[in-house]
Amino acid sequence: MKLVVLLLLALGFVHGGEFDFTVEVPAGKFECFFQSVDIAKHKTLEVDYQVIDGGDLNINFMLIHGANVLQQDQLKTDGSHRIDLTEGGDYQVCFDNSFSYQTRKVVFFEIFLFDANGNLDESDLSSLARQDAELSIRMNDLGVTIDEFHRRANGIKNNLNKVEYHQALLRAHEARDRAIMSANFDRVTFWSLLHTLVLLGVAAIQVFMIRQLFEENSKIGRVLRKGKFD
Amino acid sequence: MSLKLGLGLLAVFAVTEALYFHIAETEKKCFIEEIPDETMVTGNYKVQLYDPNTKGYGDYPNIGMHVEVKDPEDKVILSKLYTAEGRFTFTSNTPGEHVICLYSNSTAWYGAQLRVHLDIQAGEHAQDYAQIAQKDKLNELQLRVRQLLDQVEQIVKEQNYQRYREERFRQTSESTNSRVFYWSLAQVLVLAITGYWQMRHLRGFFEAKKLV
Repeated sequence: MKLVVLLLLALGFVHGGEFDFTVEVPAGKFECFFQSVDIAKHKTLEVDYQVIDGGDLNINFMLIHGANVLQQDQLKTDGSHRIDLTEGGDYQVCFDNSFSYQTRKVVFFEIFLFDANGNLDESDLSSLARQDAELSIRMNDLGVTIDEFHRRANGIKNNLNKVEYHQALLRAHEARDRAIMSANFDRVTFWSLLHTLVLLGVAAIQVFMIRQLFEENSKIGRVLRKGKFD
Repeated sequence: MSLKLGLGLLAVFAVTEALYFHIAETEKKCFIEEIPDETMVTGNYKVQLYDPNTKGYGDYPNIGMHVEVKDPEDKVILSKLYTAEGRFTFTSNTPGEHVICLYSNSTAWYGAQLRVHLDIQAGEHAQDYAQIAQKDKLNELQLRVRQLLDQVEQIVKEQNYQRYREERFRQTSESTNSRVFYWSLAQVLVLAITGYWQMRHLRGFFEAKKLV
């Protein structure tokens, strides 16, 4: 029974206020993602996005709340928007690829929800742990209080969160560069092949035309010699 | 009884705090997760159906959600049918882009709009600390340190993965570079040979025609 209780609690506390997704927006489509905001807890919303694959690597972005468009970007490769929340409800993050008829876009985006202190809405691990009464005594022997420890641990956690955030950004950059490079590779191969074929084709046509020019009983020869169709 | 109900509601409420989106009945929505190897990914989701009577979205337990996960080599590593609300987990064997696709299986509600709440967490964020605290009987200090250690381990894994990616990138880049060079060289050669062949062929032709 206790295990069931704890497991159910776990479902609630497994994630914090940070969501990141990489989605594919098909050509000509308009995709929206909704984030519900609890105004009691969340005071700031930040949305970062980056187009990592597809065509010119640009997309239209919109941040909508109810009937108002709060933020808008036209044909950008990446963007970052941070807004202070005054109302709760559902905020829409929309990506508009309707201007492109052929290429699908792959977009990486992150949504952060900060509380009043500017911290991410994280779960409280202390409540999940086993209650240990002797802990404070043992820690006092070491010369450290529990609060001091939590402060330091939170500091470390914030730094690690920043590291993770930068890693995610670098990962998105790398994915985008890789997509650009493989597009270049395909383009180089295609055009080289085409050039060679056109070269050979033109050489053959040149020889054929010159031969026909000196051939008596050929229609093409007569056209070339006289310069008109008869 | 009320405690169980309360906790059940809490669990439901938790997933509804996540991102949600709308999909049509048979539409497939895919998410890409680029992760290093040996990384656990957990997804929590909840599906609601549009009810024209209330003009809102309500819970219908009969909706099934099909979850399909493909690894970087396009091999399906998870393909299961779940209930209207559930959780799926997988661990990556190879590093790279994994594609997580969701689509509903039922055609009974034709033309209806579905609202899917989804939360995908990878690595350290996917760990269930309540369960770990329970199993290993960790106190506050131990749990905190454990969480920090897990986070650092994930960061190191990610860095190693990036290093591997960068090496692959450099290889492909050099391959493109050499390809450009050799193609140009080949084209110049083809041009020279074609020119030579043309001259020889036409000379033979003119000599045969007694024009030269």
